[in-house]
Amino acid sequence: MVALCFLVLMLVLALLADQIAPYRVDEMTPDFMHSFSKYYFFGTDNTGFDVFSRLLVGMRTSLLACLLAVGLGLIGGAIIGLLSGYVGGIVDNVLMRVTDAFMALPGLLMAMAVVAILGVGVFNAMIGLSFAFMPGFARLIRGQVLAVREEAFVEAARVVGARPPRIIVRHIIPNIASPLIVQVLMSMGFALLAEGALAYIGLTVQPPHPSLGSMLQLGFQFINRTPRLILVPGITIVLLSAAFNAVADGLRDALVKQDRLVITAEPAR
Amino acid sequence: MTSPRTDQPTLLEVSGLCVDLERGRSSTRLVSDVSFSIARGGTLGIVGETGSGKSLTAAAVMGVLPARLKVGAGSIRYDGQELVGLAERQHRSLRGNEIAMVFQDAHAALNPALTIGDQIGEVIRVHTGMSRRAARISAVDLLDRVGIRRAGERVDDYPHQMSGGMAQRAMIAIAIACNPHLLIADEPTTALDATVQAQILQLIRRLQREMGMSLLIISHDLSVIAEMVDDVAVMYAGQFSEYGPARSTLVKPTHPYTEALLGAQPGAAPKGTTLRTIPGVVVNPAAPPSGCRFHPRCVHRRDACAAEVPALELVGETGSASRCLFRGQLTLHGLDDIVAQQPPKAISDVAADRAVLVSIGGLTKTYRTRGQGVFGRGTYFNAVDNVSLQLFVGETLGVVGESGAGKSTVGRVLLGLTDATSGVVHFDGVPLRWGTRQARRFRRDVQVVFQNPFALLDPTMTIGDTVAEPLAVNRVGNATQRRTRVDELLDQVGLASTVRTRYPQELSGGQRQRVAIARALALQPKLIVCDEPLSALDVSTQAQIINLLRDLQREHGTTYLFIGHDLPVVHQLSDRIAVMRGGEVVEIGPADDVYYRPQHDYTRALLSSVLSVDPRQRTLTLDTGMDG
Repeated sequence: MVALCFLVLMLVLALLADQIAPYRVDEMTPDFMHSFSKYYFFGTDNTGFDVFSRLLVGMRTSLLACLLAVGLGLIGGAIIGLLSGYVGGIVDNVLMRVTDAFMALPGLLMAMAVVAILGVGVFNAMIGLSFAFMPGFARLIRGQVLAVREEAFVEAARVVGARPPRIIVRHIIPNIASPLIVQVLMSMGFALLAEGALAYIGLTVQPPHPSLGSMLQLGFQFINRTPRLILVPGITIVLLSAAFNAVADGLRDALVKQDRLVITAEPAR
Repeated sequence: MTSPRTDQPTLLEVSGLCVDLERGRSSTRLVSDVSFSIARGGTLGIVGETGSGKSLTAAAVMGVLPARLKVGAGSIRYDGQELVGLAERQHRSLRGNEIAMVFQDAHAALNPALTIGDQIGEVIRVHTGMSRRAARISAVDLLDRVGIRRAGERVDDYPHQMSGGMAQRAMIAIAIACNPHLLIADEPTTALDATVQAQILQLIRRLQREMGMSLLIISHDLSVIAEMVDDVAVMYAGQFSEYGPARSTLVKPTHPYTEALLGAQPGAAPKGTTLRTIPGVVVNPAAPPSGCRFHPRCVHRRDACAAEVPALELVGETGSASRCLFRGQLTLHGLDDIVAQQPPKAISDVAADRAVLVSIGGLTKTYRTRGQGVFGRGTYFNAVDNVSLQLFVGETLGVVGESGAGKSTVGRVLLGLTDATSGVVHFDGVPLRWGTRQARRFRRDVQVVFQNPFALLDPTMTIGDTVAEPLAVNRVGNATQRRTRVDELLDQVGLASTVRTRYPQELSGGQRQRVAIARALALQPKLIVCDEPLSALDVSTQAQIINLLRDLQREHGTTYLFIGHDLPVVHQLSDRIAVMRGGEVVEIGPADDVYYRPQHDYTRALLSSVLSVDPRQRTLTLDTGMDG
């Protein structure tokens, strides 16, 4: 619950970043390396940018980037998983072996490869990262589809003459939604860390535009003199990522409980 | 309360037992004021519908109540020792050793990762500290005692290698491993075929005699209870509504609920007539109605019933105790008053004057089993083997058989859910080929009602959408017309139109099955395949659905293919019966002929394992057979 509140607060802050931020991200203040103060909540950096402002905007960039990566991963995974699970047979075999192959590649490596081909930028890096999420989503969805496909209500829909698209949209997708939501949240947590790592090696946003990862990179230069610069974005990443995971965990428990109630409501025979 | 049979010392004495569900600070009482006793070597049966609290009562005695459930009050004394409040460690040493339990679904209760021998051995070693080798020898011995052939080889089998009956025998072997004095059997035969059920019950009875065990048997099936027990307790909404010796309680009930249960048995009314049902649904024990808990459904209720809470008290000389305000004053129908079915004298040939709707010729469905190892070749087996059947317009053809007989496959081929390997199906004189474009016009003519009303309805769709789906898919009418039609259909199956906006999870099993029937009727099909539509329902609900199916058939002239395993139910509904075994039809004929004058040995075997609800006529003899 705490995690959910924190997450919502952070999302609101990120969305309203332009309104809340006291300075523009590329607005140099007269103070360099200013510490925490009432003018600069988190101080300023070596160029004189306000860290708090950059944090808000950077958070928005990072979260949007993650959403993009996870969203693309979900869409790709859903197409593969639904096809694989619903059609089955040789389609299933081919798709799943390809998925397995992708699963063997580390996500960051894939993102770097895509950046190398398409060029540096948040969008390209996130397309690369989305490939890392696809296999996971595809496998999860395939498994769920296989289970739901055998349910009597799906057969009942076939008996009344419903065609596959209707069965998938009306009967299968709504019934596999809950584990998917959990997986999406989990992936968001991971994506945030990955974005941090990619930005840290300079593959996503370019200065002066901030993201949490690029702020981390900057802070690293002054880690001995001014740990503030690395701690502020670093702690934000950790907290956000942990919050995503905690919310996902909580949601899963809530959903499992709900399912259990359904199971116990069934007569014992 | 003491046991009506007091010639033996009491082994288990439960008094005033209450089981509470704790929700934060508040708690709801799911079992209240349950008292009974079981003598050494005696047998008590608890019968009740879903949610009556019968399994919770057993779990409380066993000390294995699910989390958040607690014994709220009362005492459970086993051999003079109080079990309520006993430390878990001491309770654990009683479990398995003194008190053992057999569950409903053996395959679910056995650990799939361990061999049967290991699982039996585990119990023995936990309680006796025997060596691994000695435990294995005992395990073989036990498997032999529960009638598993070649026990020395089967001891290394995993549960999935065993049939349902064998797994149940194995679980009984685990239960008796430490010579318990009390065996609790919770729906021990519910998932099993009739012939296997008979074998398992015989086995339990034989072991009980040999070992002098006491038996507490829980079932929703009155005939299982009548077959097995000395004393019976009828449980309703968390309370005993009647408790006494089976021979008086079931023969001359003193509580209207017992009377109603007896009257709702499929064999209790002459074939073709309306069964007596219990109106309404089982009340939630957590929110009981005022006064007597059964009064909203009771046909004998009077004004006082809603106001005054009755106690469980002895009625006259019968030995039965009844929780009814008017105990002893009502004239209740007992077993002797129920019109027993009589075989009709004249045989009517249903087939003669009717047109053929469906004609199945030489239908075969072959499955290939997966081979052993990577390159192993699969073997083939025929789930349906050269079956030829005809269905006449407006009749009900019952198809009975045990699991694996191929009866469902026949239905699935008719529905286009499974392709036949060979054979032809003519529908209305036209060859039916599912998957082709022209077959789509038959879609509206063949509909289905499946077995499990809990899996049948999409949990994410409202009842209204579910019932309207066949109409929407086939583009019948516009949204407003469909809504009117849905209301009409819900009305036909006896549901209020207010359920339209509700979700399946909010409905009871019987209500869901009504929704499924409404949906099947939506396109006004000529044929409805009913695949075990009653087997997941309680007796009272089952009778309601039987009546409903029959009324709808009279009204619409729909043809039914009624697939079932319960012979009395199938007989009650069908004009003709086909008996299937191993993919073949072994006997087919007018329902009364097959039921009363079976020609085939297998039909006779099936009929002989049908248990009677009359405790005076026990069907089963002592176990001699092996395997299951």
